[in-house]
Amino acid sequence: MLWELIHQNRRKSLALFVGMAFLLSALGYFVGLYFDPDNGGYVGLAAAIGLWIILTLISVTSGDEILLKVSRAQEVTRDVHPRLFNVVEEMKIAAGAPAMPKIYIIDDPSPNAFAIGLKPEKSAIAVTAGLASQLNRDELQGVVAHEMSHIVNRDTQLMTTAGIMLGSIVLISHFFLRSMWLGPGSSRRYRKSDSGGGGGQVQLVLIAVAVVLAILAPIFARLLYLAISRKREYLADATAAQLTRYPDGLASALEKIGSSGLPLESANKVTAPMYIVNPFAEKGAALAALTSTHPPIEERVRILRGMAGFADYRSYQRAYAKVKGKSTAIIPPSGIRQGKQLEVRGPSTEPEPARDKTTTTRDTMDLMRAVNGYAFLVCACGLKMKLPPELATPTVTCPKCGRDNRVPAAELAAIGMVVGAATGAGVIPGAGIVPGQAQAASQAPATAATPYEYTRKGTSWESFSCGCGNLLQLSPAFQGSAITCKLCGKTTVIKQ
Amino acid sequence: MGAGTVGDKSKAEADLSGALGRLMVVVENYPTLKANENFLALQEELTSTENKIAFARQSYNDAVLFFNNKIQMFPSNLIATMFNFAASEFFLVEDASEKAAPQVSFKK
Repeated sequence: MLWELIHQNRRKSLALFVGMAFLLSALGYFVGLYFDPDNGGYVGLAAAIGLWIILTLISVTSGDEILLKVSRAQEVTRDVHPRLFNVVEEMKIAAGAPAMPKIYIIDDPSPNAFAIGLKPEKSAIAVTAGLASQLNRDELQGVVAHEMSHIVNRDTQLMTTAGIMLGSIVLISHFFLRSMWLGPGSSRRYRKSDSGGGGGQVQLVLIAVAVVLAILAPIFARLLYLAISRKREYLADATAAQLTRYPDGLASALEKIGSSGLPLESANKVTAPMYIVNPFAEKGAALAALTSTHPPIEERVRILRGMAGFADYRSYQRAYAKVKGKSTAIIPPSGIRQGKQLEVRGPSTEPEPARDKTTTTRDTMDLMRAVNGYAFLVCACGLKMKLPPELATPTVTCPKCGRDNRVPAAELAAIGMVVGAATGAGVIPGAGIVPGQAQAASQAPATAATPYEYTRKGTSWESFSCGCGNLLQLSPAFQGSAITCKLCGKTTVIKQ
Repeated sequence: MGAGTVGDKSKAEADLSGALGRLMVVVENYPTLKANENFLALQEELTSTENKIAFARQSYNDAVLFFNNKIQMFPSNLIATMFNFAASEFFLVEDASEKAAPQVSFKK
């Protein structure tokens, strides 16, 4: 645990709140004076303090939700992407976090991720659909470990606070500047100018100060944001390497993210610093490194890969010094002090996801559909149909082979589970069911309780798939005329 | 089950992981099973369970390392001697093959 970092972040969060109060008060005071030179200052001050109180309340209670909604993130259950859930749980165990963060998926094919939360108990990790479908398990673990490090090191506390505050400063300044260009400020000025010639000069100065503050405040706020972000990315990388004991995973994830080239649509200036890789970064933009909120990806990758078979903080410090060429201490003493040199583990043996564009795009789109509540229905011909949640018809015609497939029960559709009229191998495909099903469906097209039919091929063991995917078996001794599926309750008529 | 000391727990965990490995089914007779959705879900669950065990062990060992350092360093060693804190033992991996990543292989 990097205790110095944690304490520093807490102190800085507090300082941010207090400093924000002063900045807003000054802004409010001078803006008020601009509108009303006699008493406006105090009115403006009161308004600014009131605004600060409101902002603090909002950021403490629902700051997370605002940032998540702005980034178009949706919360997901375990069924949508079990691997992501499991990886987050693994990292929660490894980091010793007090509670599982909530998991969100962002509707975007560009790979990226961020974490927010005012405290580790109430945090959230958001990952784009592109990232969840394109990364292999080691890389996903690396990215999730990086985000978990931000949460545990309390970076998210600072960044969430700064995000809300920064957003509000930008808002106030925009409002003020716009009202200055369009508003009746000038007429109000003349209305109150009965203090003589000296008063006019004072007013000019006040106006100048107000304008300068309004223009500079967003710049200062952005500079503050930049100052707090870059070092923390290195520290999160180091912590992630130690948590996973596999820095190459995070390194190759960063490479994949950096080379994807797709812009992240839902990122704006305020939320950009919170992502793992700068969403606005263009390849080869060296000048951007000076003003960027993130250190360049190539550098981060080189440091991680230069850790030479070890995964502890000291190795990261050594690799950092080697890559940067200077020996600035990036890891605080509590990390260096812990002593042991930790070896890396081996890579996982899971197969890499396919890299060709078709599969990648299809997997990403399927994930986005699953997040949005689509159901997947596999036709007997092998086509995987994607049904929108608003679908109302009981049967769907397969566009490839023309068969009518019955839409399964509503609960199955709601969680996006894959159901099949003929599931994969291991289940003996009932050759007799498909024509029977199509017949039954076409005979009674729109009614809800259409009876299914199955024609027995003989007197030996037979089995067929119910429409919901359950396997129904008929023994030689079966004499009944109908069989009811235990899963979905459908009754299938047995014909000899 | 019911292991008391860390050493006993370590042995129990090794037995459990070995049992998980022995549960693997031969799928050479079912080559299309590998692409089955249910099988992939099972594979995912097995992998993640092995990972969680490994990470829990890692987290425990990190905490033990931190604690052992703390009771030896100034100024916390003063408190440690006052209350007679003793060094904890690590959760060692009995079998070297466990250090490898979980191999969910269904070959004989």
